[in-house]
Amino acid sequence: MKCNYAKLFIHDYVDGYLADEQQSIIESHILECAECKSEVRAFKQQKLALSELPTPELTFDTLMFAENVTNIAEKKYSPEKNGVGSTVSLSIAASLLLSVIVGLLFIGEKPNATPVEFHPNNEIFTINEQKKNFNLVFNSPKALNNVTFTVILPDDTELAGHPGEKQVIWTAQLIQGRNILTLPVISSNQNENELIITKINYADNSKVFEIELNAKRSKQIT
Amino acid sequence: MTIHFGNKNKNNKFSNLILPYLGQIKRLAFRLTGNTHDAEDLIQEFLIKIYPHKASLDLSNKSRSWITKVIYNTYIDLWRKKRNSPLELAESYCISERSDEIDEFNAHVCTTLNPQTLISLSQSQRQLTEFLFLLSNEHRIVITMHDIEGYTLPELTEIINTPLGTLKSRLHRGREKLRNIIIEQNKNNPNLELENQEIVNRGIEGQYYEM
Repeated sequence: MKCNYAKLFIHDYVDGYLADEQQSIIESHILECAECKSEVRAFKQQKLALSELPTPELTFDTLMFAENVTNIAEKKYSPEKNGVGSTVSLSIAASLLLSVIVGLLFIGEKPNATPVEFHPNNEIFTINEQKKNFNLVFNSPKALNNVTFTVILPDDTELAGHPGEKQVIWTAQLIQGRNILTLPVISSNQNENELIITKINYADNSKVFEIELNAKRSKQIT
Repeated sequence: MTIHFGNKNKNNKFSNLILPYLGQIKRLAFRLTGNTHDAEDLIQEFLIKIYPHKASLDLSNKSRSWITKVIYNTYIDLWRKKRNSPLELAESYCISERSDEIDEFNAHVCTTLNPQTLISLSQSQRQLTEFLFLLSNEHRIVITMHDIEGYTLPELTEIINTPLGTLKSRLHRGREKLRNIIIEQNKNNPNLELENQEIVNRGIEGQYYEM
């Protein structure tokens, strides 16, 4: 058998989709052909590595949210619904929907949503450190490429996914109009007046924002 | 006559009904979006969407694939909405070295890889997750559903609502692209190759070959 022919079936072979007879035809070719053997090996390895990828835990309390969906739906469909009950739960629903998106923080314009804290699921979140998402909202007059973000963190504070790094730098694109930068901050620092400094550089221009760890708001300093 | 909507019976509570599917829901939402933030948004949309159909959740395999299908469709809806929205999130960053391969479809996906995404993975797993997001959305979704989540191609034709041949060629092409990305990256980083090799060796000895 020619390799070209065998290669047509390599993925099906790896996945076990071939009929027994075809599977053994390919198998006997692979035993003789070093090149095809190494191809098969490579794809099996890749598939195995993918199948072993773990899923990070979400702190989102899905069940609590499901309860809220239930409450809203019951109010909505209840024959006894009256203005007060349904309005309250609908507004809770609205703020719940938005709260995951909006952590704290406002620059430029205030988001309409009222931030609501989700209590992390105890099973998942056992560390004492506090995790907060700080959302930095800012306007850009036009779309910009290669904008550099630099985040400088106080002691005992880090960005999720960047353990031990005092300074995290990356580049991104900005769209025209409102942009939101989300900083997932984990901090065990008790001094709530400590500042997270975020610099945004584009060509020769830069803006610096300070965010207090207990921030209800942040300010632009340059 | 009084009609009771919203049954208070504990066993019929929505949260109890979805409890058996919780792991599946969270895992899929994360796999599709690539980060916890968007996964949470996706779960919310999904729960609101399935609430009216909660009575049909019966722990069968049919329910499981239906849930997967609804999550997938919800993801695609959200993705389209986000793509068309002027309020695109800018929290994210692309892996700049590979920006030459990022097309319009990809660019969005790439931007969803924010810092919290990659927490709790080993270095080689982080890399693999990042590489997956360098693929086009079509390739990535089929690889994710098939190679990571373990759905078969015939199951995926239902879930993704796409013909078998198309899915197959996306899967094969995607795997080859992913492999090329890994090879290229290994050239630049010999340490990574060693780590990848470790994963590989374990696989060879494992039960994977007994298909």
